[in-house]
Amino acid sequence: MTKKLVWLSSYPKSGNTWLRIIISNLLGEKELDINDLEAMPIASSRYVFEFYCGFNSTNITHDEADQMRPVVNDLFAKDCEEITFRKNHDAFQYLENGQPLHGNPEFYKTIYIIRNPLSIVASLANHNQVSLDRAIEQMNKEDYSLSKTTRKHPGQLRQKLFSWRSHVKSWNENNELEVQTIRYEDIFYQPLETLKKAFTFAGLDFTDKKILDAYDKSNFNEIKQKEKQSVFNEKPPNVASFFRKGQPNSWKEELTQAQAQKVIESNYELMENFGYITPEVLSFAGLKK
Amino acid sequence: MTPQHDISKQAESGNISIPFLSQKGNYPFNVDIKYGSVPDYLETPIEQNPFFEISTNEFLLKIPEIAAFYVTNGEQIIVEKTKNRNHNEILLFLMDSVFAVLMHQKGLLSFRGTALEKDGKGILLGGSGGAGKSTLARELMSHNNFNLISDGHVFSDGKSFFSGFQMLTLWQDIVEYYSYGLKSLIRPRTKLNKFWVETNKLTKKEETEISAVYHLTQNKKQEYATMDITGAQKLKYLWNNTSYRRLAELMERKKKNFGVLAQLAGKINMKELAFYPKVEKEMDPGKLARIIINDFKK
Repeated sequence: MTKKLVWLSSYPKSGNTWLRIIISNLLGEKELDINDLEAMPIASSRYVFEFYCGFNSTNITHDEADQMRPVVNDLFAKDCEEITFRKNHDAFQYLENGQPLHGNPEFYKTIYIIRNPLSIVASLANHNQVSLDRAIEQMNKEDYSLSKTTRKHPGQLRQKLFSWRSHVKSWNENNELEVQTIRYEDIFYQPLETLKKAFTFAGLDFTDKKILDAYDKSNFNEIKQKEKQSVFNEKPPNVASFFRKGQPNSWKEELTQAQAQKVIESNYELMENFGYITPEVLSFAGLKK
Repeated sequence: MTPQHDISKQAESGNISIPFLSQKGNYPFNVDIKYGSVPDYLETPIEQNPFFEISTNEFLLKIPEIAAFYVTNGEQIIVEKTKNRNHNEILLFLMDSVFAVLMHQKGLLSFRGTALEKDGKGILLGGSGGAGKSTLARELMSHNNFNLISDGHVFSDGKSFFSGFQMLTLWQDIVEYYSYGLKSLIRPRTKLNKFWVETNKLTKKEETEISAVYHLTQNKKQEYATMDITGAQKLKYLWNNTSYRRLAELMERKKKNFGVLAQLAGKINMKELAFYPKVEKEMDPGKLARIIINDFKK
């Protein structure tokens, strides 16, 4: 079976939406509408779940929904007639019955977007409207989930993220999965090479010019301008704007030495593996190798 | 997991009554609902997957570890429940897609939302899940003399709303906001913080003429906004508010329903109400209610 479903997986605030905007600019024929991103429903979409289940998903618990999600994801994958991207923030995980939450790995590929966790902190704090210290705590929590509320109408299905560290490992250290990992920072500094690698992996062939045109149309100034014109529907109500700075090194102006130290100490090995540990970074955090 | 095998064959016999259904036994609810054995599969399904099978006049819904429902010809519903499931849990699913499909089979319309009546005029509050339909309905009933026609799903022939499910379904945050005592409410599933709230503000009419449709959305800008829905947009909104429109499409109802919806769209007023949550989870139902009251004065 040719794999037509491609998960765009990432820990939140790692560039998932940015990549989806680039893809929309590549695939779309009209001017980009940030609220109509080329049909890339999130893995936790209740709409997709109910499309295949035929009943109200808020009538079942998060745990019950999890048991059904592998079946739903397989049905979705089988219905993909062409390369189809889906946003995903869930960590890769097996349910108690041994089923992988995302369905049979033979039915999909994954583009995993990783971002320097030092950069994620301020972005996550802004998104969740919490302090930087609280954001760091959330990134270290092994039971961290999104949409886990049981008190109000849950807009999306629950998404178990685990810690940043466990999230990255879940997708990148599993031989069962076909994964192409790209770094946020490489999309920023080496867009053509990085995006071409990702799209070729997905099974799409674009000219260099087309990729660069789409990338240019997706720069942060353009996106922020579009967000001013039309409020982005993925923005939490109490946050001024979804798109913030997008600069890979802005964390240096936002984190204290102690905060950077905490992030690095919790994630040193992974950060080193993905090239985020440099003498400059260690010096900022007051750490030695 | 293969869900169809998770439904154990613990059939019980006996008729099922829906306590909140106002017009029991009357059109369009002249339907035979009972516990029994459902077929394993449909002979000629248009669509089938591990959760449901459907044709133009048959629907087999299999909800793992809860129940299986078999709906035929708009006349009969058979429920085969899994052991240890209580009656209210069954009702929760019955009063959802099972009844919506039943109405589609009858050739009637079924909308997601809440319908209310005042002075013989019926309004529908539509919008996606969590938009605040039941909350606004509660406000209109408590302070503005509106009566409940149906909550959750609203059934219609394109001219009138039929009195349907006469209770409000509210989540715990709203129940606490209005200081309901949890013990006075019905909790259909102990694992869920979703409650049925009984009310005495019920319409006495069996059918109420449709006057207006309000579509609730959350506004990400810090303001309340109203927008008249006009022209072809009306038809789009009505179709989008159709309960389980994918199932209706699979049942080949779309073309037929569009004719009725187009006629309805020509006769009624429609408006989008966009609200901004002042704090997370909170809208101002009083403010939205005043918009509707002003429309009623015109």
